[in-house]
Amino acid sequence: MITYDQLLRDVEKPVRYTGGELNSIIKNHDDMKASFAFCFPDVYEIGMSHLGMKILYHILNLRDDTVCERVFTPWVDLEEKMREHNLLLTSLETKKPVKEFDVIGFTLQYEMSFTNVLNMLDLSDIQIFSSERKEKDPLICAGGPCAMNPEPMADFIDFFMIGEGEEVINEVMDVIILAKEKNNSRKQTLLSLSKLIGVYVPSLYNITYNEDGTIKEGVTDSIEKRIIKNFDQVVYPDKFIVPYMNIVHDRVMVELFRGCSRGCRFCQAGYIYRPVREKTPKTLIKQSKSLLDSSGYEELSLSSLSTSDYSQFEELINGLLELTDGQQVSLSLPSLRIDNFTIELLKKASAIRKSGLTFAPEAGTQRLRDVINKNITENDIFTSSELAIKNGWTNIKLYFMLGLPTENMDDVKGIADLVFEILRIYKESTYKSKKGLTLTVSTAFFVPKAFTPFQWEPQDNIELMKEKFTYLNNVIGQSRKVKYNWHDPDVSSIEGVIARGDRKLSQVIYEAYKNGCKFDSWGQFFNYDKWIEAFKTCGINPDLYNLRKREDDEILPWDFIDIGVNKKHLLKEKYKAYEVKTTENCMEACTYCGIQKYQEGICLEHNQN
Amino acid sequence: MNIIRIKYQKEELVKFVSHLETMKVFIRALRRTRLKCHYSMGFNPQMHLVFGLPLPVGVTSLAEYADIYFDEEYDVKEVIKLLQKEIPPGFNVIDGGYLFNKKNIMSDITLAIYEITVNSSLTCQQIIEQVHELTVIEIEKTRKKKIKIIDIKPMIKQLVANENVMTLTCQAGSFGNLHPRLFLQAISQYIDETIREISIKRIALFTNRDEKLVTPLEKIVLGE
Repeated sequence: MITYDQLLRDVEKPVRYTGGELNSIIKNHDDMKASFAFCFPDVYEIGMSHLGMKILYHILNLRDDTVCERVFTPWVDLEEKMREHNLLLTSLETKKPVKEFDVIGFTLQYEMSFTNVLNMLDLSDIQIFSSERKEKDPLICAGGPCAMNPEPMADFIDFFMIGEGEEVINEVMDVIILAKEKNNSRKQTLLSLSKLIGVYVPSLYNITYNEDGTIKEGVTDSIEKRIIKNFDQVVYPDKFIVPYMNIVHDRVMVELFRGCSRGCRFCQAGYIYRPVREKTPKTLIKQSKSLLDSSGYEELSLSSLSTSDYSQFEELINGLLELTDGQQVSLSLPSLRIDNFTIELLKKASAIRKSGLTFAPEAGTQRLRDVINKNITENDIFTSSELAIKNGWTNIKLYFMLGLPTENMDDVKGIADLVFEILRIYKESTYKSKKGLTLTVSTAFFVPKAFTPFQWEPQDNIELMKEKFTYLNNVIGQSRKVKYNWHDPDVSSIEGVIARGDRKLSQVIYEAYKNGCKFDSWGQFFNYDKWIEAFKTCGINPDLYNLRKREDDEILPWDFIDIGVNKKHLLKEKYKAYEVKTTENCMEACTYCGIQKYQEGICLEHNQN
Repeated sequence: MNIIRIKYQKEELVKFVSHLETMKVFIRALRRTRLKCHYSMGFNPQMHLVFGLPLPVGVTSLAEYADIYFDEEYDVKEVIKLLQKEIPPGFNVIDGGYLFNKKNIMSDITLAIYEITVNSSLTCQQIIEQVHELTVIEIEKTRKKKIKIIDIKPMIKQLVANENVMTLTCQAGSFGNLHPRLFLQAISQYIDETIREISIKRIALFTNRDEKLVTPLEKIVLGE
C-alpha cells in the first residue's frame, strides 16, 4: 500500500501535512481518557493563522486526560491522491485517522467553508449526516461565529458550542469522559451535553414550517451563549506552534479585548462578542514576552476589532516597546486610527511597522454612514489622509460596502467623490513621492447577518450588485492612481442565503457538496451554477433567504439562541437606521441592549459610574 | 565579526521543510537562544546567515552546513549545545568550528554524495553497469524558464551499487550542480526502465583545497 510519505513528494507544499512543528504537542493516546480532533475546514496556512484554534488547542492539551490534535483540509492535489489510494484523513500530530478520535470539532469561521466540513467528514470515512452515525462513531461538534446561526449545518453536527469556547470546552470534555466511563449511549451522551449552558443539540428538536416556507415552530428551548468571566485572567497560550511554512498571520498575536463598543449595525462581530472586555497592559505584556521568547517570532501583532479603542493604549505600547527594544521584533498595529498621537508614536518607534494605511468608511455618504452607525466623518477621513500623506504614506486602502439598506445611486457616487477628494488632497499637498500615491479601493457586497439590526433586510440581487460595481469601475477604476477591487456578486449572494438560512439548507449544502463544491471561498473553485443546481434539486428557492424582507414578528431560524443582546434592541436599532439616527458608542453611554445582565467588562464600568 | 560554521543533519521528520523554510528555522532557533547574532543595517535588519548547497525538498541529510555571524565571541561547543536545545526535532546540530577564512559555505561546495534508494525491475548493479557504458547522458534542464540540454555524464564522479541503493558522488555547487532527481530522470530515459525514487539521503559535502577534497569543517578550510 502506498503511504502518505510517497504521496507528499508529488503535492504542492508537503510541509502542510507533516506536523512536527516547534511547540506542537504529542501525547500518548493510550494514557488519555479522551481525544479531540480540532478541524479547521480550510488549508493549513489559513487555519494555522486562527487565534481561536491556538487557544482551544492549548486549553484542551492542558488537561492530563485529553489529547487535542490538529486537522486541516487537504489541498485538492492531495485529496485526489488520497481518494485514488483510499487513504484516510489523519491528524498532524500522531497521524491518527480522524475517525478514531472521540470528538471531532470544527470551527465555523465563514459560511463558504461549510462544504469543506462535509468533505473532511467524507475523507475521514465518517457519515456526513448525524442521523446516520453509529454508536461508536466520533461525536461531531462545531463552534465559532457561524455557529451563532447553526441551523444550516444542523443535519451534520451532533452538537454546537455557542459563544466563547474557553470554558465550555472543558465542561464538554468532562461530560464526554464520564459518559465514556459509564459506557453511555450516543443519545444519552448528547442529552447530557445538551444540559450544559451554551451547548445545542439540533437532533433534539423538530422544526415545523408554514406554507410560505417560514418557520411555524422553531427550537423550543433557549440556548444561551457562553461568555468568559474575567477576560483578563482567561487561559491564553504561553507558546504558539511555529509553522515551517509561511502562514497568513505568521507572528505572535495578543488579544487586547473582546467585543467592540461601536455598534456598527451591519457588523455581526460587534453584537455577538459583546460586551467589550479588555485585558490589562500587564497581562498583555506578560503574554507577549512569553510568546516571543518561546517562538523566536520577529513580529508581534495586537489583535482586536478596533485597536485604537483600547483604553490604555499608550501604557500598553510603551510597555511593549520596552519589551521589543533591541530584540529585532517589529510591532504591527492593525486597524489603527491615524491621528497626531499615533504619528508621533510611529516616528518615535522604528520597531513599529509602517504598514499601509487602511480606512473603512464602509459607505460613501454621511447619510448612509449614519444609517449603518459607522461613526466616522468625512472630515476624519480627510484629516487623517492629509496627515498620512504628509508623513510619507503612499499606499492608502479604502474599504466600502455596496448594497447597504436604504442605499441609492447617490451613495454609490459618494464613494467615487470620496476617492477623488483624497486624490485632490495628495495633489495639493507639499509632499510628493517618486512613486506617487496609490489608492486601493475595495468594495464588498453587504451580506445581512443574524443578530444584527439588519437581520430582517433584503440583500441586493446579483444584477443590482453588478450595476453598482460596474458604475464604480467606470468612474474610479479608470484612474491610474486608483486600484479598484470588488467581491464576486455570486459568492456574496450564496453567502447571503446561507448566513440567514434555516435547517432546510442542510440538504442544499449536501447537494452542493455532492455536485463538487468545495473551497467555496477560493475564487478558482467557487461554482455558482453547481450551487443553483443544488437549490433546484432540493426544490428550494434561494431568493426567499437573501432577497426577501422579513417581517418584524417572523420567527427567525436563530431566534432560539440568546446572545445577550435582545431582539427588541436590534429592532429599535433597525428603525433608528431608517430614521438616519446614530446610536452612542458603549463607551459614551449604555443603550441597555441586554448584555448588561452579565455585568462584565464595559458594562461593569457603567454600573460603577 | 565572529563566524561559526555549524554542521547539522536533517532527518526524515523534517525532510519536506524547504531550503528557505530551513533558514527561517535557524533564524528563529538562534533568536530563542538569545545569542547576539549579527544583523544587517538598514530599515529591515536581517540576521546574517549563510547556508551551503540547498537540499532538495524530500531529501534527508547527514551533512549540512551553515555559517552564523555573531556580534560576540562564543565558545563553539556552547553555541552547538544552545542551538541543539532550541532547534525543532528532526534537526541535529552536531559539529562546528570558528571560520577565519572569508570564503563562505555557499560558494565553497564542489562535491556531494547521495545515497539513492530506488525501486526498479533492474538491480542497482545492472543499472550502474549500463550507466558506465554511456559516454554521454543528455537531459533537458529547465532553468529560469529556459530549457537547456546538458550532459550530466562528466558530473558523475563515482557510482556504486549496493542492493537497491546507489551511492552517487557528483559535482555540486554554484559552478555546476547535479540534482539527484535529474540524475534519476536522465538514467531512466537512457536505460528505458522506470527507476522510482524511494528515498534520497545526502551523505556528505566536500570542498576543494590544494586539489584535494576536504570537508567544510577541516582546518585547511576554516583557516586560523
